[in-house]
Amino acid sequence: MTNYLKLFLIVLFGLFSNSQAFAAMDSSHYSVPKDVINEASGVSSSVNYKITHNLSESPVGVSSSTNYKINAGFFIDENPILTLSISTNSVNLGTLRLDTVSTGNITLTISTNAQNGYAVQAYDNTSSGIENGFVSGLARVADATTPNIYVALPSAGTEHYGIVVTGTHAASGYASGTKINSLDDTTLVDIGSYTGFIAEDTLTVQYRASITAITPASSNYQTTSTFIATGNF
Amino acid sequence: MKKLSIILLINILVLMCLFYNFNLAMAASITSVTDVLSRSKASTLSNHTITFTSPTGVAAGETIVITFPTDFTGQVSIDYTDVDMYAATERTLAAAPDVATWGAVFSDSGGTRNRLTLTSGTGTVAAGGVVVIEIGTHASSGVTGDKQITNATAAGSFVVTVVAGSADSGSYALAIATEDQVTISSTVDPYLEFAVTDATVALGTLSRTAIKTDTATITAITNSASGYNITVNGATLTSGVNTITAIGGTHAASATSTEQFGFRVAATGGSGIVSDPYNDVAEYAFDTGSLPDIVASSAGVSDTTTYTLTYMANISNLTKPGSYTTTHTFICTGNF
Repeated sequence: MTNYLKLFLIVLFGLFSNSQAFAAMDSSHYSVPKDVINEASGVSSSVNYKITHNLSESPVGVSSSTNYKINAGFFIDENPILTLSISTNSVNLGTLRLDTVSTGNITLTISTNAQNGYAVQAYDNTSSGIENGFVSGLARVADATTPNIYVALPSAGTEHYGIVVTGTHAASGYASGTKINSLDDTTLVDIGSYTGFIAEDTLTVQYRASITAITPASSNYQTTSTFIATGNF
Repeated sequence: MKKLSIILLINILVLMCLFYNFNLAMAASITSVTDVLSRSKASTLSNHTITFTSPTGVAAGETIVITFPTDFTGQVSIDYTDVDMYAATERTLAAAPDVATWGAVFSDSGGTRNRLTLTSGTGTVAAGGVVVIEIGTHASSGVTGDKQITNATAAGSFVVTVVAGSADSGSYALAIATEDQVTISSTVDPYLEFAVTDATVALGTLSRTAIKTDTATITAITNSASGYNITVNGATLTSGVNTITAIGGTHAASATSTEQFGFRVAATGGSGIVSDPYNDVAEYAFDTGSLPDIVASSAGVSDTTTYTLTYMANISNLTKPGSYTTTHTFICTGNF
């Protein structure tokens, strides 16, 4: 075989191996979109570009057991993903009292493969506090603070309504559950965020309220919080 | 000759590989991509605020194409008035491009009105430019938008693609949830607090030449939107069958040597007010013909109001001697 023929075969091998390297593997329990043979890979970036590259990756694959699953040694080419779920769509704080701060919790669960993570924000459908559902705007349990201005938790007997968010990636203003924030109908209030890939991240939102003796009586105080998750792709 | 053919073939193949990779390298991914929704609930109308950076930019005559998944649906008649575009400056939009005006058109792409194509006339987006596109009722530049895009009918993660100009493209995901809202409800019970904090009025020995007065104090607080009424009931000063004449329903000044019994009330704090005829600052009344008679009230929610009742009695030369007493009963009624 001449050197030229050897070179020709090498080029052909290179071309075909390129397509083989991206062959998918499937079974009833897993799917590997790509497997490649690797010698070098990584992320390169400059002011004007950022590229995730690989070169001749080594044989790799998915390993898993009851307690783990690992995608080892290769890049997975997958679609952008962002999911949000809320544990419940109603919180009843019951009868508010002067001597107690009433509380109710919900849990938000967020997953994303956005390389810059996610942000969750919220707003209420009332301009301030929890309003009397029968006579909107005329009677309310007042906000604890201005949206996105975090203050120390008010005590029982101080009229207030607001939220406290806890979780590893809760907005820092909540100071690990020691500060309260309030929602209105014009401001997107920070709930939590993360700056990378993450699966099933959870944020606990605690609604808190208390009253004074002159908080107007009503059996129908109500407000609605809307939550929005945004991926940073 | 055969060797030359092989060499030529190899060179062609190598060059093809080189140019193939070169062409790939020309395509760029849009970066810093976000889409802030106004609602994340399935089958619900939502605004979109889409932000991205175009590394290569958009040249004159080129397009920006945003394609939502097939189960996202633009409202009927959604058009350029429902879109704002900002790239260094707010861009003028119309149904078709014209010089600096960009055309904005919604079309079907496997779905219904789920693709927005922005076509440049002569306008451009600079390389590295940040593009912000608002779709929905918050698109307020020019004509304010009144149409939105309906979210997918089921919860999940949905991929939106963006193609900017001839070189840049990318995709991002939208989170659509079964529920994106939480309703918070609560009850505040009616509250009414009332107390007589100074219950003894000692007028002492009444005089024909000097006015005798003493005070009592009551307080009231309520969260009733319609407030409360405080009434008084009881008799004038009495000693057996003898009485001291009550002033009546018209307040009057204290007059020595004239048989009189009555009181006036002053209110401080809260929003409670004193009723006529007990609200004069100097004169007294006691309307025994209207008992139980309202002496004070609040029209709505009221913090603590303190009512100071100043009782007054005078006697005449004909007033019978004796120990005169009476008990006045005050009742506070909330108007819930």
